[in-house]
Amino acid sequence: MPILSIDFLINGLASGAALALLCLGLTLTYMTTKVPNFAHATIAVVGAIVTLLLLDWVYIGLRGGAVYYTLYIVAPILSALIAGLLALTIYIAILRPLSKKGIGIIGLMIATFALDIIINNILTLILHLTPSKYIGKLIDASVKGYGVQVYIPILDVNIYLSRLLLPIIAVILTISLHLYMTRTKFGIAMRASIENPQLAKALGINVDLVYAISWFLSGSLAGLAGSLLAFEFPGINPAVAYLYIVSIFAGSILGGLSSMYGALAGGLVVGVSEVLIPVMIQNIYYTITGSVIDIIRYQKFISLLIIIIVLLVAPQGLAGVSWRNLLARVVRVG
Amino acid sequence: MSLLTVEGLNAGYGKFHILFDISLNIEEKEILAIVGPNGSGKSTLLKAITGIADVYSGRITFKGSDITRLPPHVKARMGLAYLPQTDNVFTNLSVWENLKMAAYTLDESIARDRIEEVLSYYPILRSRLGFKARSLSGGERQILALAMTLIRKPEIIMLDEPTGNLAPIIAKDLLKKIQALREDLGKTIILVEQNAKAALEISDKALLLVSGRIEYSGFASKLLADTELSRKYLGLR
Amino acid sequence: MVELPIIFMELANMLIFIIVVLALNLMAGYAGIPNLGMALFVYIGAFAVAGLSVRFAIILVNILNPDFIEMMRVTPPYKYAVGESPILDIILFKVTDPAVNRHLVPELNSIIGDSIPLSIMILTFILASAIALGATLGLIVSFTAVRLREDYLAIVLLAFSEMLVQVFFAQVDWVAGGRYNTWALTPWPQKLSQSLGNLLPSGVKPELFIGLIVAIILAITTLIYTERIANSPMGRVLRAMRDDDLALTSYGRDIAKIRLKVMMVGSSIAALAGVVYVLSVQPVVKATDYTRATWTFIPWAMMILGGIANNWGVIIGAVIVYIGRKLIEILAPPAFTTILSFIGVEVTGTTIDIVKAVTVNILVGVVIILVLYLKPEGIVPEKPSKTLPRKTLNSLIEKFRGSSS
Repeated sequence: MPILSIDFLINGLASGAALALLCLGLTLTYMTTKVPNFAHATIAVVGAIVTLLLLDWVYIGLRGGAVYYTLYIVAPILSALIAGLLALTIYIAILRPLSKKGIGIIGLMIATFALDIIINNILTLILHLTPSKYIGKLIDASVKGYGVQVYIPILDVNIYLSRLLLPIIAVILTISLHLYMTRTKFGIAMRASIENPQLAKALGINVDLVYAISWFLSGSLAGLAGSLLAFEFPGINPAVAYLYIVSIFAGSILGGLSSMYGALAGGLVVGVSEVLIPVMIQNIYYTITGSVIDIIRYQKFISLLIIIIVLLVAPQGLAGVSWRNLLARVVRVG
Repeated sequence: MSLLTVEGLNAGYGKFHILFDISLNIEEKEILAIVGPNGSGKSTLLKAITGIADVYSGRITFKGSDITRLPPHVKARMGLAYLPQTDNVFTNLSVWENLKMAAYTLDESIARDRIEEVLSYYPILRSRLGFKARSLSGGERQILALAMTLIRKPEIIMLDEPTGNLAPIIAKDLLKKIQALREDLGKTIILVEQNAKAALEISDKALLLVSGRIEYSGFASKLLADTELSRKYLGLR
Repeated sequence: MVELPIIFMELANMLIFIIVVLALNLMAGYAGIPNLGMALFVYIGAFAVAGLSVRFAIILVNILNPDFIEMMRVTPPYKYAVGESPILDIILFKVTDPAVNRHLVPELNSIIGDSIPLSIMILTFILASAIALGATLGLIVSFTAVRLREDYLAIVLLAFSEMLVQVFFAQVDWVAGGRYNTWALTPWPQKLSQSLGNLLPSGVKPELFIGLIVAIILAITTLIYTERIANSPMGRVLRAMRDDDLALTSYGRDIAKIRLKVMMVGSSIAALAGVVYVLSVQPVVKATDYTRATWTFIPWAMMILGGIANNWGVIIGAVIVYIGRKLIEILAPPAFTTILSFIGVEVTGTTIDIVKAVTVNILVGVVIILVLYLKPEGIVPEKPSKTLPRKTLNSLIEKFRGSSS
């Protein structure tokens, strides 16, 4: 048994891409409004549920056909929009007013903690009360999963379509975001506002609009990731958000919570590690002892470990590492 | 023609009363230096005029209209520019991006022209256009900050210790550039400086603040020549 | 009409929440540690009773009665699960095996019940181990807290709690039962139970009554301790320092030591609350039941409602939230059924439990946000401290920064 097979690599990549998007969203709202958003994973689940509803109500028939594949485009977009609007609402209706009243970071954190539980429970309610077109309630249907696999000739593997799409979409989004932030006036204004809101305000930039958009963007990214994950993961239980948020924090802390590229890198590393490290350990164990151990269940421990190590060793995360110095030491210039 | 007048200003931060009964008058194209020992309220005076510090009583008039209680961004639009000592550029943005942000509220074509003007006036920035502001030297950063201010075509530029943390040669050069703002561009300047001698040398008028009160108000050259005051409060020999 | 056993049970449960909130108040209000991982601290007490003490008990019993474990090998239902495994293996791994556990624990209970010295030893072990575990957790957290900013600390605490309770203890079967239920010891002497059983009205189990008494004692003790801290000059200093990192670093060691002590006591109390919970309300222990919704979220809501750092305030908050929760649990299912029947959706069996839990959580969350918005100091606000509030301090520092004028 090879230590790593192609489909595990792709799975790892998909997991990394999803987490990269989620960490990007979390870091974005952290950089702008300084609040760690505990509700972020749940917002991703909102996207997943929207997609699930869409798949259940709209899609009729076998997995395949034009309607099904169109949904691969429509669902993520719709989910991203709804999740983005939700995040925007959270900022405008709750966090911003609280902040204006003088509530500090801890209080705002508790507010997002409370919102996390509120939204998560509402989702549970929806899952348990909404009838599904196929079996019983939506919660039962979610167990079936709607994923379809495609065959990739070059690599000779079967991969869930959504897992293939995730890294591609993540790359496209990253490039688009980068272009937006560096080539457009408002994009540059966003970076300016993040760095020095006072100066930005003095120059006439609507910093509050920047903050609002950052929340919308953050929610959309979460909704998008959640949507794609919904396509193939059997069993969307909103409670998975409770554990997933730990991974999101791990990736963001690894990224340093201070740059968007750090967030992407951190999310990628954590996401890939969570899938690959248990598999590698399992394979090595099997090669040595010939018996199988199930340690996939403990993959979240990797996130905890990463958090601890980063905070102990390099609290600034990847963003704090001076890449230029590092490069200068490794590569000889001249 | 009096551009800016301050009458009977009492100001501070919240409960902390820093400035007592300050009055001053600055004409068009004048350079006014505000000097004094540490903690005397020099920065606070600028901040009170801009609207960042709290004004308890008194009046500030700009071009004849009362601007005492107006918010900072309105005053900025009226032509009063304020350059703080630190955090006056976006360090993570390039020089070019900084200038674009300074021109944020202007029309595209006007913005382009203004940025071009400013780059011609300070050619050093042109050679640093793609560099992030944080990689600029201290002096270059202050020049960038000046450039950003000039893009808005202000009438009065108020600078808060622009030469702080700069090496003496660079500081001297910067002060020359500040003087040039009046010579070349006809701007009116209020300059708060710790380095009293250098500031007074390029200024027309001077205000000596001690413990929040005016100790001297008049010609800068006279203050420089007054050995007693300058020794006592400015550390000059 | 509501029967006595239910009243006692609810009373015990409410007291336990009061104890937990007082502990949380110590941590967040005095030691300045925003503990979003409270569930772990409570669970660790439950673990002491279910996971640790069972093993201690079986060892103890085996010492006194050397054939006990041997006997297990040949007697059904144990023999199929235990078989030929070495003794150490049995103690470490098999004790929590559901096939073994659900027979073993009652048997141990009756053995312990017959012997007062055994009973006392087990009880002592339970209390000691719970306090030890709790205090150790408190120690670890305090050390981490010194190096981290508040928001990072909150994240780490949450992560820690979720990982340990919901991943480790909930998945590793042999440590604490993992995915299966484990039973907790009820180490009360038989004589005590019997005599109480005669005195108490029918339906009220002696264990419940004893548990209730213990809860009352623990609650009162905790309140006395926390009030002493609150009224001491150190308490006032702690409260003032809580939000001011700058002052904290300049004050140094002494404050750090007191904070550490307060944190460790708080954690031990939380663990003891877990013990009392298991002994009186819920002897079936499963890690997944110790959710952050119940043991972190609800105590925080109680504390915010009542007023952080104010002991009497948080007790009032606890009572209000607890009673509110009970009311919602009673009213929600019929309300939902009626409303949904208009749309044609039926609410059945398990869904009702879910509806109950969900509605409670949503409403508690809404309450938290409302309180933060309308009256963030809580119902009974903290007595003002003499230092400037952080926001004023910060804005002053902002304005003075960079200018030497």
